[in-house]
Amino acid sequence: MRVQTLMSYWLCLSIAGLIGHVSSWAALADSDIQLGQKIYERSCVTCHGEFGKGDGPAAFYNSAYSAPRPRDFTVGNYKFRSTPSGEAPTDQDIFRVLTNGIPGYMPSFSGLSEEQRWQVTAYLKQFSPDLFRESPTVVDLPDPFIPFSLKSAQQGRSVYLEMECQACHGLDGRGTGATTLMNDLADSRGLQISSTDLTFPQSFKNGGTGQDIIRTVLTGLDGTPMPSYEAQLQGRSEDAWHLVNYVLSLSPTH
Amino acid sequence: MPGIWSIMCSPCPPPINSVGDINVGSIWKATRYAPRTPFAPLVVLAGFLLVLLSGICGWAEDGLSTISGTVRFSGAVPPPTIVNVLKDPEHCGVQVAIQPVKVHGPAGALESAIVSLEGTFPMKNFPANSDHPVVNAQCAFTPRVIGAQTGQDVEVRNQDPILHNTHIKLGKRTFLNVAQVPNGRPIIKMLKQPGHYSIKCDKHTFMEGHLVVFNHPFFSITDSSGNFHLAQVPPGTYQLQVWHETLGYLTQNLNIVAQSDLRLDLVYP
Amino acid sequence: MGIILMFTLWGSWMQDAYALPAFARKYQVNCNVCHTRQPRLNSFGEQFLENGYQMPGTEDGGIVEKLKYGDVTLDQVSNYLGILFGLNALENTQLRRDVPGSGDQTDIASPTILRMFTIGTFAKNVGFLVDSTTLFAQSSDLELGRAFVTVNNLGGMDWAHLRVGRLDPSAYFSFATDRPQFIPVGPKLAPPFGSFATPAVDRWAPMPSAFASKFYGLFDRSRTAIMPYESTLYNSDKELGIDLHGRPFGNWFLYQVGILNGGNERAGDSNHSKDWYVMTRFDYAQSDYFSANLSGFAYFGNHNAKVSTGADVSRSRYGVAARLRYKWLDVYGAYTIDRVTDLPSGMSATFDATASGVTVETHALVTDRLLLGVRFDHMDAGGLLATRTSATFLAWQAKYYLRSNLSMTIRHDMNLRDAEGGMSAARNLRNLFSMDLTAVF
Repeated sequence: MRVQTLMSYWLCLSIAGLIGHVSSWAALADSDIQLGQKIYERSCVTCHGEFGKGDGPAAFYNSAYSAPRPRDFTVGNYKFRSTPSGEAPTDQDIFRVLTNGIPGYMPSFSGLSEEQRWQVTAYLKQFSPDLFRESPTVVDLPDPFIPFSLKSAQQGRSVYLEMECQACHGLDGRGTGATTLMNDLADSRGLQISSTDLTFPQSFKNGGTGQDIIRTVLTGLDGTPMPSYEAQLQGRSEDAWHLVNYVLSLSPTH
Repeated sequence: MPGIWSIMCSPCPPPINSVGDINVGSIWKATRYAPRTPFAPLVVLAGFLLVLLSGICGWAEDGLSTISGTVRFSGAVPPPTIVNVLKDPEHCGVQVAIQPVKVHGPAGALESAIVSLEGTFPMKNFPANSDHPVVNAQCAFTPRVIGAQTGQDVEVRNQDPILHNTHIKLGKRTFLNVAQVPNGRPIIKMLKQPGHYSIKCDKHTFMEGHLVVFNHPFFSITDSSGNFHLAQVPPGTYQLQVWHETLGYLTQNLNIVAQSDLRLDLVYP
Repeated sequence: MGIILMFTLWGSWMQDAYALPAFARKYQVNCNVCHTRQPRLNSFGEQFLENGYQMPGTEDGGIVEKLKYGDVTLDQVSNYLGILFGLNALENTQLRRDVPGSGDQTDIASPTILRMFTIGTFAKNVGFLVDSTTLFAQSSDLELGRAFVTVNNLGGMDWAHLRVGRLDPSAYFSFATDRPQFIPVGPKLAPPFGSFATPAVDRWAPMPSAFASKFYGLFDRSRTAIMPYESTLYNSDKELGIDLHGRPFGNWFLYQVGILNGGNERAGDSNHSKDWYVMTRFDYAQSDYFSANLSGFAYFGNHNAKVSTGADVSRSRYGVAARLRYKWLDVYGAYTIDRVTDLPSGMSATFDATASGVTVETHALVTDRLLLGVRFDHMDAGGLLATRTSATFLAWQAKYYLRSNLSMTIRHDMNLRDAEGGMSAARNLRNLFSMDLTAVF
């Protein structure tokens, strides 16, 4: 009888403990999102809006009648990805943008702790659950890597012309190609968008390092006219890095 | 082929599934880019094997119906839109005439309208293995209007000696935005979500195409005689929808009884 | 005209990729991330300001590109400094013709304002601001403006933010005194200046009536006349004090309490009984490009002014303000009532102890670069019955932004009551046309 009582106490305790553990574990899983929501509603809401539609009270002023406006997370167009065109970004992609910001338009939120930035990332994904249902595959970077050299940059010029980068970015890379000058380019909101001035890597929205540039070229910027060159540069890893080195060579600091 | 049959037979999938295989083929016959002659004997063979197999597995299922007919346009055809080409005119031509309303013959047969059924079907998971080419040719998308099923692929190609930028969107969301240099590689991507996709070229803004994706095989694109054909339709109540890129929708409620052969004559506007 | 041409060429030559002023440099963003159009703040800028010059919801202390010296982290010098420079290219004043000795006057190419500010964060949750302003219409001296330290997020995120020093109390009000789209136009004054002397106003200063002193015949504690158009009390642009604000319950509610000297003193604090104020603000809407807010304050003055007999009086103010922003439209307005108490018993028959003012302003962002604005001001003046004159003005302006930190303005102020006559400055100014250039670096 004594043993039985002891056993039943122990059983109850274990069950209670288990329930407690499981429930706290479950609570932790969605509290990440809830904590992310709290941060979002202080740090992000004025631009990206309460419902993630990129229509916060401050959203209009950034560039008013032209692109870019703050991202509409419900549409599911993520510009800055390491994944193929039309796919969801990885968590790391979202985290990277939160950390680095977007030159000219979104300040860096590295003031949030790393943990907080992951929580916001978890919350952002809730705005387009369909998009994030499947885990995305990352585009492979061309291998082998070719470091910057003037020779490589010179070879990159012919790749630049072959890929017709000049149609938008211009022969001198200043973002004044014929297509840009005709004001035909629009983003997914239908707002007029300009081509990036490639001579000014500090202003590259997806980052200005070689790694950033190759990522942009391969994945494209969804929601903008910048297309993915993944298929065109497939099996041409050297040419891909030559192109990157050519873009780097356009900046006066190089 | 034996491999396929073993896959199909071993978990004993719902019978309509297997019949649907033929069904898809028969619909593709009505479209311009369906697998044609080389596949026809295979389809016949498959059908034969299937009948044989259905006897063995006890899949006998009848009561499926056929809906066919024509879509016509009555009235004056709107004039084509004339666009002055500012980019690559040496290849695209100085002017492009765009006529989305393609009407043939004295009866006014309307080409490139998509006829489909809306409703709930007694089965899900229709097999789909076919790809749909989106070809950039002469600064236009060929074909201009495509009907496809989820699970199928689109294949984007460029036959022009200039850069094209094929940008396929579902609503505002980019499905695929790819650059294609002359002689560039084709790009293949599977369609997962049903809906109306727009196909645009960001470089040549006058280029336009439409891709309508269904999660079932009961759709058909009208040919140059305005004909459509929906086969193997299970009995039930559906809405028949006709969609044309500029003329919009025509709808009609249908109650399909078992083993019927329905013929419809649908007229815009 | 040469200067205008120079500015235009320079503006069009430089690219808009980067904005230059301090925070834009520091965070590598465009001015319009924080401003509807420079200088008025949008809601992101308001939150940045409320959080003591830190990104909303963070305690970052402005961590971008910081230089570290042990515990202290400092920005690069250029990320701390800002300069605002205003140049009046052309100004045409039209006075009533029946006023002897006065007529139309046109001035060209005179600098109007030079403000230099040092602004930023020392460390997590510790920020500061020091600015000095020269209003060339009054003197060419560089006058110390605001100078305060902020300590932020006391007790928890957004619970309490403290400011100590010379501060602008209305910074978090729906209609802040600072950062006006209509740049303050100074008065033209004539002697006598000095103890208990009221200078003659050659040209009235069309400034926001709701913020204005509104009383004729009042002097500050250093016996200098407080002009009826001057921004004072809660709406002062600088007063010595301590101020606490926060949003403990989320974005919808803001509180603010503070204690000020209130005596309009240049230096020191001779006022032993302080002024104090309380403000609450309610914010509504966070999506659809829309936001609205409503705020109300009460400011209780204690011996913060004098009348010509030398006796201390107390000025208090109660006010409400609202602001609504939707896409290209920005509307805000304030209504205030001022009361003077503790008047010497002999003055009650000659002194109106109540005054009120209303200012309503609307701005429309017509294109990315063009901002059109209208402002209506009405002051129901109080003070000495013999001289007090109410004033009603309407102003409109077109502001063209060559870059987000460089603007050209054409402005017209008109007196809606100039036909009513009287020899007061509030009536004899008929029209004021001006063309200005403003640059912030």
